[in-house]
Amino acid sequence: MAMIEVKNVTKQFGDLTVLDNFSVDFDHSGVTVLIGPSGTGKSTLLRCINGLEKIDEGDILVDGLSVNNKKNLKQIRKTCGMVFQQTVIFPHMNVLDNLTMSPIKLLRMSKAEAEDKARYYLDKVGLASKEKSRHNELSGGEQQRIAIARALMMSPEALLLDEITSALDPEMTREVLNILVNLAKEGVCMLCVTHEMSFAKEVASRILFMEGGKLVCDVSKDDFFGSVREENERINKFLSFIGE
Amino acid sequence: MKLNYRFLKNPQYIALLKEGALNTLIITFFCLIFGFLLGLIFALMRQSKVKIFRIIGAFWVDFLRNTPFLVQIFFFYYGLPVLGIQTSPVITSIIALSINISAVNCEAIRAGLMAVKKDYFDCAYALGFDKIQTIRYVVLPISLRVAFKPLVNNFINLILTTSTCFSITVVDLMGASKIINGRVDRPFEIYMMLLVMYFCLLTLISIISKAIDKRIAIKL
Repeated sequence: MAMIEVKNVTKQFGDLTVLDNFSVDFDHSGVTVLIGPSGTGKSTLLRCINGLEKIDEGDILVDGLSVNNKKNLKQIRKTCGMVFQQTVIFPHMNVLDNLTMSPIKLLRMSKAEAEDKARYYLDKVGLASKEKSRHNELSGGEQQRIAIARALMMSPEALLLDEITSALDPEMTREVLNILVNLAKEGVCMLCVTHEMSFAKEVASRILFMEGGKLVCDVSKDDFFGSVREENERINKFLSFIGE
Repeated sequence: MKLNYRFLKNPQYIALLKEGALNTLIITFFCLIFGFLLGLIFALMRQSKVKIFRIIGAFWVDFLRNTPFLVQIFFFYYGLPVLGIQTSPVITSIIALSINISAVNCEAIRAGLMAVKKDYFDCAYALGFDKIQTIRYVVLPISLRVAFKPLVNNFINLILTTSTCFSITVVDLMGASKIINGRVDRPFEIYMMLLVMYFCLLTLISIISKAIDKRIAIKL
């Protein structure tokens, strides 16, 4: 059984149909990259999987649990950690508390255990020295790395990454992508919305191209940048447009 | 003019001033707590998605802000006994002032709540927090820090407003001073002393609140 099953999902914002009878499955492993022009429903799909947007029709099952049932959301969100385009480090606490709050409050983890785990992940994202820092003492790239570490604190089965480098300059983008590359190599399952094709080429196992709320193609990385690009004029145009 | 503070040597007047100070502190303390809690409840109601809550919250604030406090406290003290609801002057003052200050506290807290971006909610939900946990662990700690300064201003106004409670026979600092003045007829000395006392108390509160604000201030 797939970890995430998106079944005939339709999502509308007013008259605008963002996801149109959309279906796709995601397995427990690998890095899936969702690409496509802006406004095609990529971010909305991730938000629907995480239960942040209510779907109008269809269903999404995460490990067999439906997002349409509010009671499942807590478990679904534990299964799928999410990091957003706009970084949110809670400003009323330092980095360490940002990381430990959810396992302490939600998983009833002891403070000492949570802090050990937080330090492990801070070290992993290269920010071990920043545990006492506040959000305004961190660069955008550092904040995103902390947001990734915070999502990992709940030991999710998959990470949903919604254009997490789009608000960063190239240097910070590289910092964050390096972390994701390392995580991918360690086998962390990820669903990424990104326009960073270098990242997709480096770590993606599967690429979904979306347009107009529909799935245009769902292929392996090699096929996408190889035969599909050559055969599909639209994809070739899109890739050329973003400088690939 | 020669100042005469000999009345301060009279133990009866000192006891009266002590009683007045104690009543002022009691009224302030309870109004601070109840006024804050009521303000918080109505702020959450005003931000609620449920329309009837928003309407009740808006009416509460508008009604209290658009009616004089003196009329409100007279209504509680002289009006409600007609319905058989009678409380002591101090209790009436606490109820009336708590309700009155809840309106301005509501607006201060609501401004704090509105400063919390939708992204914070999304992030907390995505971490697995439910709505109540999100409000408790994320939204309120942020919004109350944002609202701290206006809440302190409201608190200072509350202390100043307690001086009107003598109008329903409460022996607070103002009431005690009025009684003493009635007996010794030294209005300049007595009210000057009262001004200095309020000034010292509120200056102390301002200094403490600035120190707290410095510790808890956040940049959003």
